[in-house]
Amino acid sequence: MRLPSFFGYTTAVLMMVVVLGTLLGMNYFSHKLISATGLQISPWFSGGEIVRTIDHGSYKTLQHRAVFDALIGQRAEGFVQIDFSPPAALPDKINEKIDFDLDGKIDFNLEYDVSSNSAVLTAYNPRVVSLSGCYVLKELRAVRVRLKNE
Amino acid sequence: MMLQGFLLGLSTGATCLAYCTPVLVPYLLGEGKSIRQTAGTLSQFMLGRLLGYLLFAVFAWMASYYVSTLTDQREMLTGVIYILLASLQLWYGMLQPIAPCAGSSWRDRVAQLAQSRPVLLPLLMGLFTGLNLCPPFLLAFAAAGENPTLGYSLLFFLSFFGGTALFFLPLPLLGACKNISRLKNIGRLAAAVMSVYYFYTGMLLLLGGIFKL
Amino acid sequence: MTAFTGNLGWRKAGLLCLPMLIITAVLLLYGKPLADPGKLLPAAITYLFVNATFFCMIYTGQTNKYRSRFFILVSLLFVVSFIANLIEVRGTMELSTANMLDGETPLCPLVIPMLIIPAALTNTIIFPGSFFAAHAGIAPMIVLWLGFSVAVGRGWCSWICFFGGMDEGFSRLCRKPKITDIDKKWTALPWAVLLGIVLTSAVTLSPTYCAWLCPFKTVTEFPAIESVKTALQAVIFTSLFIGLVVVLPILTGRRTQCGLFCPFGAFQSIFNKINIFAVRIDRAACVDCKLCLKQCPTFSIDEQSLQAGKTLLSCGKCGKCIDRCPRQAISFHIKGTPLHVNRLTARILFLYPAFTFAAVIGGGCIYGGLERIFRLLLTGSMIH
Repeated sequence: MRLPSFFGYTTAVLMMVVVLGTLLGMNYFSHKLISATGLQISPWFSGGEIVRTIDHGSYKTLQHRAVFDALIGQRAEGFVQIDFSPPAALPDKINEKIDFDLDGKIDFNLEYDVSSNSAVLTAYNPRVVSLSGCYVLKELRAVRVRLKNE
Repeated sequence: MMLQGFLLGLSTGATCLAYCTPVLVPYLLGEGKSIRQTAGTLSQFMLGRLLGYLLFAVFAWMASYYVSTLTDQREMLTGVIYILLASLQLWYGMLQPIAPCAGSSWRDRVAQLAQSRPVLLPLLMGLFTGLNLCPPFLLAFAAAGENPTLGYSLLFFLSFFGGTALFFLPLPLLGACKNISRLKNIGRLAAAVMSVYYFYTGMLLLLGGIFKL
Repeated sequence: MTAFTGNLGWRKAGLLCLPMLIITAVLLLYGKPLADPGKLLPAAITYLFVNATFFCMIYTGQTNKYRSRFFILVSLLFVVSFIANLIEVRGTMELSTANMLDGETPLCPLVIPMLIIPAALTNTIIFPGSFFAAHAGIAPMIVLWLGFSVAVGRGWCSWICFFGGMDEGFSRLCRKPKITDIDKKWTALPWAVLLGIVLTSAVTLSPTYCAWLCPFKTVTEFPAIESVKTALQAVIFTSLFIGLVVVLPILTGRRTQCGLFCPFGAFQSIFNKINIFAVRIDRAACVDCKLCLKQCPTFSIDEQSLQAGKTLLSCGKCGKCIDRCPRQAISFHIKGTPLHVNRLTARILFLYPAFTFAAVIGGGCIYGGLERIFRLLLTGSMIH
């Protein structure tokens, strides 16, 4: 048998090994893929990392970092996500003052009505543009506020 | 001053490339030229881009005192530029291959013009993407607008262009694909596909700007 | 119509199918009997159907005939199980922003080309799903796609793509094509769409094909219509589905969505370049009847490739040209080996990895769909 033929048939047989390896080891390879690459869900969907937690006793306010992420550099517009959790322990109305850029100054005030899932935004910083939306999620309530980049 | 513009260009050049790639890559592939010819086309594109920059430098100088009040109109202007860019790409992708017949319609005239002046199309594309009011460009606009002299504004944009241009240097390597004739067809169709995206974005910006007024 | 391998005989075919019986028992049934009687019957039917299909392929030497039926059934039952599952979990086929923020979107393989540039430059996945979700998590889907692509290349489009099965189903409704003259330039459109969506997804950091162009949103999940934008998206999805998946396949007898539009198909073609399996045409036996050229579902044979004795890069390895060739001039081939020698070996070596994937992934869809149908018959509802 010629060498290319030998390699051809050997590779063809190996493809079956690849298939069985993929199907049987899918769980293992999946975890390896994520741990080795450190991949994360885009902050445009996940909301970004939580940078501050305000404990109100029965419930917590979770402040995510401001998201302006672009493919390279930053975008002119972005958002900040504020979560309230757990949903069952939330009061009817929540009033929260947020310092999204962590400079020690309050940037906006959020009045969130839990029952109607609506919010009123009062901006103190010109970079705060408008309310983006209020969302009922499985484990929490989330509010996104549109921001302008510096 | 020159260094400031160049560094700003360097720091934002990759973003400029990201903004320009959707226009440039389909076009360069569509032409199916060699590396050397692609470098030529890229030079024409970059020349158009430079013209756009310089034109904007003049504009920045003229409008430096007005920049802070431009918010709504800026969106509309970007929208109009996007729509023009989309029209140019659509024409290139879908209509340009049709052979022109002696001056029967505007389309034929444009096709004839593009054939007799092959430099025109990449030049115009460069000009329109050069006038794209992307965040780094507006940053440069604001920086140039800080000084009231025309010379400063021109030099600033020239050095800004120099910094961003470095990122475009590898693009002629696309010419290495020239022997695959299908790539020409793909590039032209991709230009048409991208035109839909730019048209949509342009319309959104334009309508958004109109509603804000 | 006869295939080149002819009838193998019961005994030889049975022996060749024995490993598949074991593989599917392990991978499809997890090697243990199902305790729930409501699941036992669909599982048994699936197991028997999968293995009967493979046996027919091996015994008769016909690939496409049985693959196609299996493939279409998979896509139909995929829709049944997918929609039923969505309604069970969310109560609707609509995908709201809240669902996306919750990471509840199952990853469709079509998204993968759009993920690469942002993943490389930002180390993030621009998709509103979860890495290890119970239903089509991002990580398992990427592993599955990678394994299959390495093993069978663009065979993905003919062996496990449930969307391709819909296209194929409608194309088979065509008895005599009404449209036969399709300009070759349109076969470049999938590449153009691929280039367009990869670039726009990178710039916008969102999967633009899913947001704007996917015809299959019509039969799976679609954004909740909350604005003019989402209404426009719904119109585009429906129009593309009706045009490319229903009307054009019926008029042309070809898989027009797969061959003239699907960017993922174009992306998979790249894997054909590195894949060990190919389809080759024996020029000595070919009489240039061009039946293969006229009937290739994905427009993967043209005059030039026919003369060169090859299929184009876009070949989905469905086996239709092999089955239909009146001179048995076309065959599966292993690169590097002598042409048109050991055809049976090449075919079996290709069919095993391709069908194993089809049996496990497609079999899962068949089982899922059958289970919902049985539940409907027994309880009056598909939902738990």
